[in-house]
Amino acid sequence: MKKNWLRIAVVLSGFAFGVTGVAHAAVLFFPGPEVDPTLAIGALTLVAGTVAVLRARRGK
Amino acid sequence: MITDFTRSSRLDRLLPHHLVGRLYLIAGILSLELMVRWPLAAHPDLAQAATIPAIVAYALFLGLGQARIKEINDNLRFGWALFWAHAMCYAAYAAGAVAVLRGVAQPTQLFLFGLGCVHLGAVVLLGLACVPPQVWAEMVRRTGLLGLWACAGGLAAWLARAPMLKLWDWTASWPARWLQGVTFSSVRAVLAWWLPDVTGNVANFTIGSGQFVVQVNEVCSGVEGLGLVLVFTGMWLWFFRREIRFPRALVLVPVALGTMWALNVVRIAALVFLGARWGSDAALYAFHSEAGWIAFTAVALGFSLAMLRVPWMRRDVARVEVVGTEGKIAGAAAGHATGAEMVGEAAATPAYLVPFLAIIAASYVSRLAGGSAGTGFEALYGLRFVAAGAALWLFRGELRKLDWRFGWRGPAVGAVVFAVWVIPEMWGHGPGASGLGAALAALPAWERLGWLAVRVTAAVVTVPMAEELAFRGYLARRLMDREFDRRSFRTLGVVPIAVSSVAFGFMHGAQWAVGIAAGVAYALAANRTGRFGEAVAAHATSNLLLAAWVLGRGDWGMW
Repeated sequence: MKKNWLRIAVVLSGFAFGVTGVAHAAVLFFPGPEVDPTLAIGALTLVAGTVAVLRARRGK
Repeated sequence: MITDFTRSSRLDRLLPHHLVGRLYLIAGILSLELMVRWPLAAHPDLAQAATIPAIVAYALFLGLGQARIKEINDNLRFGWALFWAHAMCYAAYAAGAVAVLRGVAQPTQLFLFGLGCVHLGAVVLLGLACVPPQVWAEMVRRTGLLGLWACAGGLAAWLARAPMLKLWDWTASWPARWLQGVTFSSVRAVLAWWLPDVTGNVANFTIGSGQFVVQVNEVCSGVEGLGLVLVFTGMWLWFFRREIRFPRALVLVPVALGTMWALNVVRIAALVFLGARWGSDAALYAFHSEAGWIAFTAVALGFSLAMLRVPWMRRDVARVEVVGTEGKIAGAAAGHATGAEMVGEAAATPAYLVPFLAIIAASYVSRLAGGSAGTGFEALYGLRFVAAGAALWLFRGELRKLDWRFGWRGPAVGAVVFAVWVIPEMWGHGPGASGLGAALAALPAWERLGWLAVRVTAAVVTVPMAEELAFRGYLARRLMDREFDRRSFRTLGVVPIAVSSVAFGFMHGAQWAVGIAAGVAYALAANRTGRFGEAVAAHATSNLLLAAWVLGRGDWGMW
């Protein structure tokens, strides 16, 4: 039980630290013409979709 | 709390009936309302201040307590009277906020407190509309102290946000300044191999060769990439915590962060190299942000692959994966529990996702290799068509199982979606000018015709098939059931239709709002008829009419 909470605390701390990093970068972000937000959505979709495909059970 | 669904309305049947679904429905409705109310919040009120801790606390409660909440399998009736009371409270709140924004009402402490109370009242009414009081009480009883822990977590997140943000700030903390300096030195060291005449000024972090000089500023130090990788790895470790070994798996987090930083150094060095050799446009437009997202994708996929394939970091779940659905059902039928929880996605998943993923991957290559600065023209657009076509052909056996038939409803829905899509354009609020027409006009006639033929064929054939497979065929049904391919389209509920449509809308950039409406229309076309082909026909019709509009009017901004 103790280990579970330690695991949760470590993972959530990393996640929260990452979120604040992204938030910080979003404040600084240079909104130049070369920056396309659809790229971000495309990248995240590609990663999430590929993970789902990799986790698919083989055969039925 | 058992509901007689034979007497419930059609809308009731679309809503989730179980507790977890209702809790997600609350989150979805509040998220939509948050998007509406955020621009109105010139003077933060009580509810505004409580938003961040409340979101974190709710996410913690749902995430940590899902297993126990799932045990409460109740068929819940939706309280429409309470929901309309919620809507009226919310409208009163919005009216008050607009009045403050326009200077009609003074933002006194008392007024803002009252506004906050009305908003909190709206939230409570929504909670009671979705979940009756006795079920809330049952959930609190079963989850014990989790609610208090979640609230404490929300408060901690609120208190920790400022110190955490400061840690990322290069002007306020030595780690970030150090990171910027190390990134600059590393870029200079890499470039010294490629460009002998490279010059760098550490005082203002500028580096370049000849006429092309860039500044390695705070963002270029890789802060975004590191933040994204931390978010991604944190989410991964959380979602798949039952499949991986702790603390071994944590080793990969610093490895992923280091790789991301190294790739960022290579990206900046390559950008300077390209700019010095071929001019600033190629470097700044085609390469700058493309390469950053490709680097993140590579690191995220590498991390995922390692977590999925390296036995040292995985628990022994191979047995469960092999057993799969049939094994579990057979075990249950034989009267003995397997004791194993089914993991992994349904075997049909690749057939539904790979065509769409192939289009995204091909678009990376197409934009990076053949993109033209700021015009939207991609010389290699045909790659997307070929990639999607090959993937559809590869999985044709699995895809034949779908009902591809369609009647008049699909094309009719597609025509309506097309009309909605072009209405803003007719009012003069379209997506704006595009350089695509000029870029096409500069091509030889045969090349222009060939490009247009491929573009239209892709829009009418491969894109509708791939997108419908991914969003309606997979995502909408996967939100309801891990074995999504066994689910009829007639069983799609409000939450799966809404979530898959929002995801579909966000894939359409500036046209996200009409994209969401289109997603809902396509999903309803499949839902009403139970036929997947109806959604594909609707989507193909919209794209065909849009192509005719673009070619007929020269309105290239619509592509």
